[in-house]
Parts: sequence; structure tokens; C-alpha cells
Amino acid sequence: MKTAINQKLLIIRGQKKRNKVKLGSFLFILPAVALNLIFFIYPFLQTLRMSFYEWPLMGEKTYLGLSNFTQIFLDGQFWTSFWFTAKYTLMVTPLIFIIAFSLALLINKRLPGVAFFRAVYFAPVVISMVSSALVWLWIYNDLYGVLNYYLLNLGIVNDPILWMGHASTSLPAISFMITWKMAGFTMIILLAGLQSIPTETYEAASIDGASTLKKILYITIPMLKPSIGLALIVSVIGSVLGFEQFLIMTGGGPSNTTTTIVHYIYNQSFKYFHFGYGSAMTVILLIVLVVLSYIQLRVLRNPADQ
Amino acid sequence: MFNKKLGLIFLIVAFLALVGCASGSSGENSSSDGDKELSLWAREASADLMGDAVEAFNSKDNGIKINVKSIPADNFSDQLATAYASESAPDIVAIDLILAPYYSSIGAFKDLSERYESLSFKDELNQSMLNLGEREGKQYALPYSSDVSALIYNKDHFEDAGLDPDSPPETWQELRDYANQLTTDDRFGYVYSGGSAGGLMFTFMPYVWGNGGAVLSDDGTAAEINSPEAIEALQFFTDLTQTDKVTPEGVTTYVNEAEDAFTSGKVSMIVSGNYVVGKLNEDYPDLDYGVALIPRNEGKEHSSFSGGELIAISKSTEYVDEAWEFIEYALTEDVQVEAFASNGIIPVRNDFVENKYFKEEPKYQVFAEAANYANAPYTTKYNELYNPILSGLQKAFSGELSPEDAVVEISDGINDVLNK
Repeated sequence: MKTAINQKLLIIRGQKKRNKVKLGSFLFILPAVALNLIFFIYPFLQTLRMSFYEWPLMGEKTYLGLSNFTQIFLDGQFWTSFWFTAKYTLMVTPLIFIIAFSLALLINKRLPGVAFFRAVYFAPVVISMVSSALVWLWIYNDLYGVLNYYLLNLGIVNDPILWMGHASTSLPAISFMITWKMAGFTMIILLAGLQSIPTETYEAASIDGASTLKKILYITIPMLKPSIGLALIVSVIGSVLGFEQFLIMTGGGPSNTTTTIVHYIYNQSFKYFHFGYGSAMTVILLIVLVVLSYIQLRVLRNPADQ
Repeated sequence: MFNKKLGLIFLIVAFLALVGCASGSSGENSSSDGDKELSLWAREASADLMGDAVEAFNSKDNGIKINVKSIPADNFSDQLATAYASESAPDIVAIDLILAPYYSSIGAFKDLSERYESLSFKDELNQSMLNLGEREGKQYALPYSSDVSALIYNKDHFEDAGLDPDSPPETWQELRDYANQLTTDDRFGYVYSGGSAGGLMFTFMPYVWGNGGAVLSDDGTAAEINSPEAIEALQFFTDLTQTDKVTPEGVTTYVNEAEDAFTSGKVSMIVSGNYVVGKLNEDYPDLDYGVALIPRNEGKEHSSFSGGELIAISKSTEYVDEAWEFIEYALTEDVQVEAFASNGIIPVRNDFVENKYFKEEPKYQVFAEAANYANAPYTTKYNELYNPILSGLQKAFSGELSPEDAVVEISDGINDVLNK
């Protein structure tokens, strides 16, 4: 017991020594720290402060204590937006992941022309969200949209589908568009992970007579855990912060049934000029994101770190 | 995207941080030749039209240079709000007139009452627009450009349907009959912008006003939409989609789609504004269209939405006299007639409404006439009122709520916002 403590102390002392040596290297991370302080920490503290005030565009600010927060819990639209955003996240995250994972497995092979397909699958990622939303809005249109044109001509439907007319159709339609747009990004993260798995592992498994499915289940997925974790966190954060696609494609309608949380924060802050209320919702959203990311990190921890 | 979204959140958070920490006013702006530089923000549509006029003003030897910044109409309110919050507002603002009461109420604009009184042509300015620029007896903003709504119809389609292309529908019943005749397997008779509150204010509310109804009380403190006149108008629009099927069911999702449907020949009649005329002439020279007043109910009045811009001077500017000099110029024939009327924009001075361009083009005349019937609600909470209005009207037009129930819901929603 005693020796163990001594050993630990030794280790700590050793670390201290090393830290001293590397003090000069802090200079190198100073720019990053400074940027973080200016563009994240300071704005965050300011947002936190604003969330306790009634904060109009110009003129007197009134201190409200916690009443912005209590107001939020009674705000029906906040909860509508909250659950809609949750539904969207639950729909789009697995969709992106499954497609991205399949694509990553496909293009991980060293085949001629595979670089071309990597580029093709990744291409939608580099298109701006606004442009993609506008293009898909046109595709989904009921009067002159290309999708309804084919559905009608192939006799699949008798009347054009109003894709953006109701949340029950616009949510899957937009989720599909986002999958098309974002799967390439998740694919690249997973591909990087796949390529870091040593080929010897697979060779050893082959000698032991493992099938392809078994290799995926018992080698690929466990060794890919850190990449999967990263991919899911990025994807979940992206979905929870979903905004432009809904702003452009449904305008949050009909009757605010497709207004996401960020869209609602934007409306309250920049349309109705309730900056304090908007800040309070931003703080709540941040807490939700931190909790979600923490849970995912715990669940998908690299087995080697445990 | 995720990086972009993070970036967006970042920007919002960063903006929130900048609220409250002043970056100083626009400062000592002088160009190399010693001119005082003033910034002017305007919506895209009018900024594009005033280019030559501003250049002419800048080339005068008055020591003033105006820099016009063109801002997409959808973003105008957000960008202006951000600018005022961070104290980097433009010296002159050509603002969507409907937003003027709010910005006047928070003290963003200079009081122009005395200067306005001194204008030799002050009695010629459009009165309903002046009202929107006034607050508590003071004049904060003056009329600048006018955009009103009217019925635009495809003359070729009228001929196809055996209708006279020179006699557009005059009443609701005629609109309904014509729309029924114009609707075919791949065409609809009538469309409007039903997917945004702004669109509905512009294209639907005139039917309520013309029928004798109102959205808000005159002082803007209470909802008045729960009236038989408004219900009748809602019923009329609901029937066009649900009973007659002459308006596509997707109409409650259309914003710009309504215009696209008209220009692509999928729809024969649309309610839109005079800004569209310039666009139609330029981009769709083969489209033979006519313009008419928005149809009136039997025995009632025509109506229209009074849109457009007011011009105001930011309180933070150091160059009030220079800014005023530009505003005076903006109300002269050079701008109102040569830059605006030539493109179908109605001059805001009554003495310019009869001008050579309007005489040549009967379509412009119709808009000028519509301006006489035009309405716009006065409220400092316009953006926020959008919410109950859009939501309730969408429910009515899609058949989810009866018009009677919809106006109650809208009315309650409006009063909730106003009493908050």
C-alpha cells in the first residue's frame, strides 16, 4: 500500500518536472487559447449574463433573475420545437450513419476508380446548405418539381405529394436531403478509421476461418469505436443545431410544427428582438448538447482507454 | 455543414457578445478627395434601381459621397438590428415601411419633424406612408419608394380559355368563375404567396380590407380580424382551394414558388407587386401579361397592400445635414421619376404620379390606382404578429380549421402578442 502511494508521488513529481520543461511550449497554444477566449468563452459568459435580463435591441435592460428560464418551461412553442428537433435528430442520425458506414466499407477497397467514387459521395458536403436546400425545394415542389413529375408519370401517385405541406412529409423529405448532403462527411471520418485498422488483424481472422460478417462485427466495429463516436457526436450536434434547411424549405411551417430549436431562438432574438429570452434558450440548448456529447463519449469510449 | 452550423451558432453567440460592447459609430469617414462618406442601406430591389441616381448625386460638387449597400429583403430586419445593437448602423436607412414604427419607437432614428415641415412639397407626399413614419406626433421617416399589390394575369391563358384578355376579373365572383375556366389538367387558375406571413399580408389581406374588415385596430393595440367581413374573405380563399380546386393545395407552402408558378405558365393569375413588373419585362419578355386591381366583393371596395420603403436618418450619424441633403434629392424627379417610375415603381409624391413613363405604360397606371386603395397596419410588433397570422391562415386555407375558428385563433394570438 505504502509503496503504491510512493510510486504515485514519484510519478506526479516526474510529471511536474516535465511540465516545467514544457512551459515555453504554452506560447504555441496561446493563439488558440486567445481565439477561444475571445470567440467562445467571452461570448458565452455574455450570453449567460443576458439570459437573466430582458434585453431589448436598444435602451434599458431589466434584470429578471430566473424568470426567462421559468418562462421557457411554460412556453408551448419551445417544447414543440424541442420535441421536433429531437425527432429530427433521431431520424437523421441513424440514417446518415448506416448509409455512411456502408459507403465507407464499399470505398475502402483498393479498386481501380475508387477515388472517383470517394469524390462523388463527398461532393454534396461541399455545397452550401442554402444552395442544397433551394435545389431540393425545387425537386420537391408540387407544381413543377421533378420528383412529383416522375411519381405522377410512373403512376405511383394520382395527385402530387405536398412534401412541404405537413410535418409528417417534410420531416422525412428534409431528413433524406440532409442524408444525401452529410453522409459523405461521416463516410470520410469512418473511412479514416477503417484505414487505420491493421490488415494483419483481418488476415489472422481469415486464417481462423471468420466470415466477412463476423469480421465486420468482431473486428471492424470494435476497432472503429473512436471514429464511430466522433462521427455520431458531430452528426448529433449538427442535427440538434439544424436550422437553415428548415428555414428555407418549410419556414418552420405549417403553423410552426417544423420550427427547430435554433430556428425558434433565431426568431425570438432577431425577429422579435427578445435577446434575453433567446440567450436563455441558448444556454439550455448548450447544456443539452454538453450532456448528449458526454453520454456519447462515455458509451463509445475507445476500449483501449478503459 | 456541421462546421458551417457551428460557425453560425458561433456567429450568433459572438453577436450576442457584441451587444453591449460598443464598437463606436461609423466614425470619421472621408474619402481621399475629402468627401464625407455616408452609408445607405436599402433592400435589394430598390438599391438596384437607384444606382445611377446615386452616382449622379455623388458626382455633384457638394462634398458628399453616398455608399449604397444592397441587402436581401429577407435579411434586412436582422442585419439592421445587428447594426443598431453593435452601434455600427448606416447613416441613412431605406427601411421596409412596415418595420418603421418599431425602429422609431426604440429611438433608432433622428426626429425629422422640422425638416419635413420645411419641405416645399410636403403636402404631395403619400399620406398613408407618412403615417407609418410618424410616432407620437413626430416624423421620423419619410416615404421613399412604393410597392403595392395587384392582380397579374396571363393574357395568352385568357385567350386559351375563351376569355377576353382585356377584361380581367372585377369582382370576387368573376375571379372565381374565371379561375374555374382557366384551370386545366396542367394549369391552375389562381395562386398567391400563402407560405409566409409577409406574402399573405401582401396578397390576402387586401381581400379583408376591401371587404370592410381589418387586421388591427387603427391605433394598433388590438386585433380586429374576428369580423364577418374577414371570415367571408377567408371562406372565399378556402373555397378556391378546397371546393373549386382552382388554387393548388400546396399554396400554403409557397413563398417565391407562387411567382415561379406564374412565370413558368403553371398558373394563370397571381397577386403580386409592382417590383415584379420590372422583373417580368426583363426576364420573361415573351410572357404577355395584364395588370388589374385586386378584385372586390360585390358592392365593396378594391384594396391593396401598401408596401415599399421609408427613408430615415440614424440617430448615431454625425452627418445629419448631409444625410438630409440626400433625402431631399431622393424625393426629386431625378430619383422618383427617372429611376423609379421608369421601372414601374410608383413615385411617393402625388405630383409625380402622372409622368411620361406611366402614360406610356397602362400597366403602371393600374398600380398607381391601386396605391389609392392601399393599406398597411401600424404596429411596433409586426414581426411577432406574423406568427399567429400565418399559422391561423394556413390552417384555414388547408381546411384544418373553419374560417370562423381560424379568426378566433388568430385574434387571440395577436392579442397575446400585443398585451405581452
